[in-house]
Amino acid sequence: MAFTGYAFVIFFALVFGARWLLPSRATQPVLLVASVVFYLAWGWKLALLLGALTAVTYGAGHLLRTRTDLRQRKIVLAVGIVIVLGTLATFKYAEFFASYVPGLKVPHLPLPLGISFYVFEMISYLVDVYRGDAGAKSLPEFLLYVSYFPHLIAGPIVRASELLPQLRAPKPFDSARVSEGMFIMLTGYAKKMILADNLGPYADAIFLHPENFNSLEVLTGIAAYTGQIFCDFSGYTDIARGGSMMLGLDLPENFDYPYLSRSITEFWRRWHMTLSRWLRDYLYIPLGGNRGSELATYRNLFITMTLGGLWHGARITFVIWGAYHGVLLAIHKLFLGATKRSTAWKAAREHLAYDVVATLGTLALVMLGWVFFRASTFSAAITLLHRLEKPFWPARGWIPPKLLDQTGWYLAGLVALHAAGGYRVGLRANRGLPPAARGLFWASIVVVLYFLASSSPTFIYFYF
Amino acid sequence: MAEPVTEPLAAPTKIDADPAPDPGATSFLTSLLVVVVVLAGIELFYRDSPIDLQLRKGSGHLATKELEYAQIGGDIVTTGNSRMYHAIRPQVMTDELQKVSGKSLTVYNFGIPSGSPPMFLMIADAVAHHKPPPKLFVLGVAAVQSSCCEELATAGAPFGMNWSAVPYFVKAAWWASPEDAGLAVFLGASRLLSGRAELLTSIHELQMAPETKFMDRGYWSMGGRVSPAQQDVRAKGRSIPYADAMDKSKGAHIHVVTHRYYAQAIELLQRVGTKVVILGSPQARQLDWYHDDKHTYAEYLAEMKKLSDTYGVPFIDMNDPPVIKNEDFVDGDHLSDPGAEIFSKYLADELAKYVP
Repeated sequence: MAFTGYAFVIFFALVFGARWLLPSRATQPVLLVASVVFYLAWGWKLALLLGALTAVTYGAGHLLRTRTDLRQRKIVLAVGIVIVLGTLATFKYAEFFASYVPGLKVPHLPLPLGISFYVFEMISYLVDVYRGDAGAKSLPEFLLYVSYFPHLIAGPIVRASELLPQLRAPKPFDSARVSEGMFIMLTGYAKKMILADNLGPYADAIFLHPENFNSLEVLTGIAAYTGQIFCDFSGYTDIARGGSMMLGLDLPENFDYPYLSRSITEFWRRWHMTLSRWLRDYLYIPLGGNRGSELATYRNLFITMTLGGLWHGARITFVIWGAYHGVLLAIHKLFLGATKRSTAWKAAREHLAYDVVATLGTLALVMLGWVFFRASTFSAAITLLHRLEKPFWPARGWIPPKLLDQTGWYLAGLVALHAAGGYRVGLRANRGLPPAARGLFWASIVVVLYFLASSSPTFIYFYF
Repeated sequence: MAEPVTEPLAAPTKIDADPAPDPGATSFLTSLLVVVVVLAGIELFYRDSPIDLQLRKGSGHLATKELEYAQIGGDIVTTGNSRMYHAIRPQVMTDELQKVSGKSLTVYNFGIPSGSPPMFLMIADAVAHHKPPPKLFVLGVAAVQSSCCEELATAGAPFGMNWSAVPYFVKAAWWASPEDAGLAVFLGASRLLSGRAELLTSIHELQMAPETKFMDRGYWSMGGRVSPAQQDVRAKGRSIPYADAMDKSKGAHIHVVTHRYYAQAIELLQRVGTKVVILGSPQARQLDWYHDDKHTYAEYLAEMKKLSDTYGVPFIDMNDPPVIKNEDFVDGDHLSDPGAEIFSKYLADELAKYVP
């Protein structure tokens, strides 16, 4: 049951009604039943795996809470992590790593939907309980934390300490929050169905056969993918967050218009924020963070980002993408350190021109990274980049294809989205309008969706 | 493990301040009511406008045939994919039935190119609501349809979905394909949604599509016979995708939901007193090579038999009717005009005993 399908609209309306019409003590049962139904709609085998891992993690968490012996607790933590991470590795990486061992063949396993996300949540739960968090009071409560349908398939990656208190003390109906949730949800649909799904076909065409296109078209294709992946993933997150907000539960932010970033460091504070946070807390800091020498910090950054790349999928291009960002982050950190005491740099940074150059430069670096992220192989990425060597403007007599023209308009829409989003124009309007006008505002978004939406039944991050 | 904010992976998780509280539901419900009223108003305005009717006339087969059938009706309705569309000549059948049974019975060909099981359910619903409903409904099936093409989303012709069909769609699909069940609800509820593709195309091209016309009560001729060599090449070409879609080694299997669409169509028609016949549609012999254990053909036959037994409706397998030869086809699936004449007469003779 994809968020963009009509079945979800009906499903969500029923859950919304049940959530607010039934007494607040029914909140947990309602949401648990809804989440189980939601996941069962994707297939019972997937639900079985999720159920088994949930039981194992909850059991390990229970042992961590009740045992006092440090050694025993360490063993439980290690075993718990090995089981859930091992399951993820088996489904996601076994075939990939086996391909590097001559003669070794492992059967192809389908990737269970959402496993990368819920396994990270299970690990964070185990580590947090090991560190002293109270954890879930019961198995159903823990199951609801893991399977809560808005964040189950593609995040945001939520900590138990963020969700469980909200589940235990449900908030009363608040029109302002529910209305805000509605607006965020509609924004998510617009991002996904208008921008991402209309930019996707052009990006697909360019990445499939870059050799058939000139440099202008290839560059537009890279820009189209840059827009597609942001609007696809942040659109999903908006639907998840907005929907959850309508049900009275807040999920953490995941995106903050990352293409407005003035540095790669800022980009990673604005892009997939809950993954960044997870990597920081459960990988980067345990590796040593920035507590050691400068060299050790760079090493930790590089390892964290490379593994973060691998998290996206069992492909060398994801590893390269992660490593690339690790290097960029290290360089930026080095640059900041080197210019920290420079008054000239300090003055320059306060200049508008610096902001423009830094934003465009960061965007260019991010776009270069997306080439490796999107390309199916390393050589395909290189082939595509080679096309950019050709003269930028196409030969005389070249007629722009219709799809390029359309893509240009949707890219303009992407720029407008960032311009408006950067200043929270929509959110402010939604808050400021009286109820009837707010209704007209929502209806107008639906009408625009009707005319401009294209529809892909899936989201890019479902495959990660 | 407390550590100060660690560059550079320190992401804030809350960007915007919370909105000022607004306890109670009044404000939200007012906004929601406005949305519902505005969207319902647009829908009703559209339904009353001539645009909807004009679009249906030019939207292809399903909606156009629904309009034509609503006006002229028919005692016998035949449906199926393009095989049936080009195989049933209504006037020939009417004449033959008159000759054989002495009854004057009109026939309407509701065959749809690339027709799929969800479409047949839409058609069953449309004809069941006609006054009077048909006496006999011939549901033309093809083996490949049992292992593919059951998704409403890919049916390609949602313009034609009526609200009255929605419960049957939901009953057929809700457990196997909730997406389709949900889609059916919205398509049935909104003419603007079911005709969206047609409306957007018209706006894009700044003109309405020309009206779709049929030669004889829904029939369209594939023309005269072609040379045996041409027919052979075309038939062999067409057989490959069918065989692939039915190849068990490539994961092909019988899609239960397909038969649930058929079952719902039969139930719906039986409820209004229409007799139903399931007809295995004709094909050229070049396509027979996938009728082996490696493909889903035997399973398809078994499913049709089961459907026939469950609902007490005859299953007439005309995969290889004795009167039809390869040269009567223009390819592997579609009969030529003379071939359709032969087949229509033969089918009329067979159906005579089922007509009340």
